[in-house]
Amino acid sequence: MRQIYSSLKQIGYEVVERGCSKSLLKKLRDDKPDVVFNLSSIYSWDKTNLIPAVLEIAGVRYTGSGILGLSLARNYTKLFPLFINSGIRVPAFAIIAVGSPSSDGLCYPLTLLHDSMRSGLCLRHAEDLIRTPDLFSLGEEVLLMERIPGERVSLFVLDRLPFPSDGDQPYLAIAQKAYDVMEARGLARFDFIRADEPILEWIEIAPDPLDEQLLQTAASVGWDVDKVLQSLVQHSARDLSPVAVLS
Amino acid sequence: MNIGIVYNSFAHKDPLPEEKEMRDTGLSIGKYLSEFGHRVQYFDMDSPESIDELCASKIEVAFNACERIHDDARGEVYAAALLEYLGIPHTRTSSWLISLGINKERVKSILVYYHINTPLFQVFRTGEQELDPDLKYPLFVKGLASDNSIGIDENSLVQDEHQLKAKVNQIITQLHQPALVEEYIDGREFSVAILPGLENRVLPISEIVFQDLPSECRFLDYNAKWFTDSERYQKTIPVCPARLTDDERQVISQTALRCFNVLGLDSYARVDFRYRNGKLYVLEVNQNPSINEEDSGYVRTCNGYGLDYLALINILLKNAIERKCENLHARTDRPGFSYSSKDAADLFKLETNRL
Repeated sequence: MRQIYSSLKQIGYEVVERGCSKSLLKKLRDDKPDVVFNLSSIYSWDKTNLIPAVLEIAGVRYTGSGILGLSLARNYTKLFPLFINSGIRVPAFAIIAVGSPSSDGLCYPLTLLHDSMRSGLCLRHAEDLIRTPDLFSLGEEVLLMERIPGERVSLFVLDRLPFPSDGDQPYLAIAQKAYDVMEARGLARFDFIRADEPILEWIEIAPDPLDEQLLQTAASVGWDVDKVLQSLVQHSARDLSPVAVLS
Repeated sequence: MNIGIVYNSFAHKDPLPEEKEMRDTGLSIGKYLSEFGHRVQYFDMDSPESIDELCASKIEVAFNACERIHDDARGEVYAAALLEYLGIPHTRTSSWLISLGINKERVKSILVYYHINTPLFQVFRTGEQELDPDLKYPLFVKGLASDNSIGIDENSLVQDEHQLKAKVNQIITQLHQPALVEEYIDGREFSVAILPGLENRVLPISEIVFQDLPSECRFLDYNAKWFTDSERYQKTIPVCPARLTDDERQVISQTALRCFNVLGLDSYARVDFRYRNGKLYVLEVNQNPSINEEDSGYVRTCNGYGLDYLALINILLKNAIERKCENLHARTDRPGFSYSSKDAADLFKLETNRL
């Protein structure tokens, strides 16, 4: 965060840090920023999907996705059915209730996804599944996904376009479809399993702009950190139109 | 208790019928709670000062009757999310589920995934799209994200391509949203109210009887919903409980509860159906049914079930508080947890980076 703060100042922005407290809305109204660089979902998980609501009510533009995109990325049990409906290929999966001993015909090893966790749990055997009630409440939904071997390919997308370059992006069409399904905004990363028909495995809806892979890709087209951050600021947005915003 | 009423005053305009109802619902609920002895504060989401007061308030629970922020329907999501951010339990379903449910295509996609029958559909984002050959006329056209029957009128039921394009274009240009085009199911129409609680309850099924209306008028349009002197309003008669066989009642009730559960809803909702030739179709899962005391179907069903308005209000408030407690518990120690963090990490190979 320090680096982002310094870089934004270096670019020429006046930067004020604000933490996620109950007085955030009031502070935003007092500060009247042109843009909020929303880092909350990048470095934290719990309740940070709600921050865009505060920003929308405050009437400020912000980087990154809104509530729906941030929330769907936490809820693969709702996200994957939407992807299926849109014709996006994902690993074989099942949505089960915690406590169910059945993996619904899926082959181990599996990844278990729950909305309280930023990443998945690896289940190597059926015995691992039986122990999940120790970690989650009985009856809660979780998603089980097959772990498919193969090369992984990542694609960064900024407002539907490959980021930072317009190079050859064979997975772009699928990423754009997923981006639209999630009503994503700003920067997102889509991780695929390389295949004749690519399989979308994971979405990082709030990627770290200092992500090593992102910066390496950016550097390959002559972009430094400052340019990356500036681009994100320029692509900030909000849902509510100016006339709909409370002054 | 200290209870907040989060609502829209629409003081900045001459409110439309549905907006008057939104406002009056909030005010009416507040009045009931005050008379019952609660300390009630009103927070008008159309007022910045009032929102600031909400952020600084010490209310224990909010009755969330807000559906707009400065006339934008997405405000419904933001109001609920703000309450959650502030840690205030509220009576609506979770904000992100409100956001999910605003878009009817998303809801239908999830229902289809769980093999719950819903009319075939297609989303039109432009008026130039071609109709899917699987969709046959007559078709029903509505806004993808509309509520309160906004945009539904006598032209919503279309019989040919010309009518379809006209209605689709009207929705896109006037409502500024894609159009949802569905196969029209001409059959009996039912509504099922679900009451939230530690065990969610399916209330008696209500039927909307379209009395003496020609077949092309048998649906609830905006006039039928909001103008009591309209012919449609007067000829759409709610009947509760609906006349059904035991089997029919069971299928409809179970399907309604299934819709509620697969969408992850956790507060009051209503599921609307059409029933034709023994086949049930889910038309809509409404996670914000009107709970206006005067003439809302949901309240009428509750009354028939033996719940007066105050009882309903109290159930919804209690449910809001119970949900908050449940969420807090889920984030702390879980009963039966017998592994240390390290054990759990070893056992399940916790990965903190990518999969």
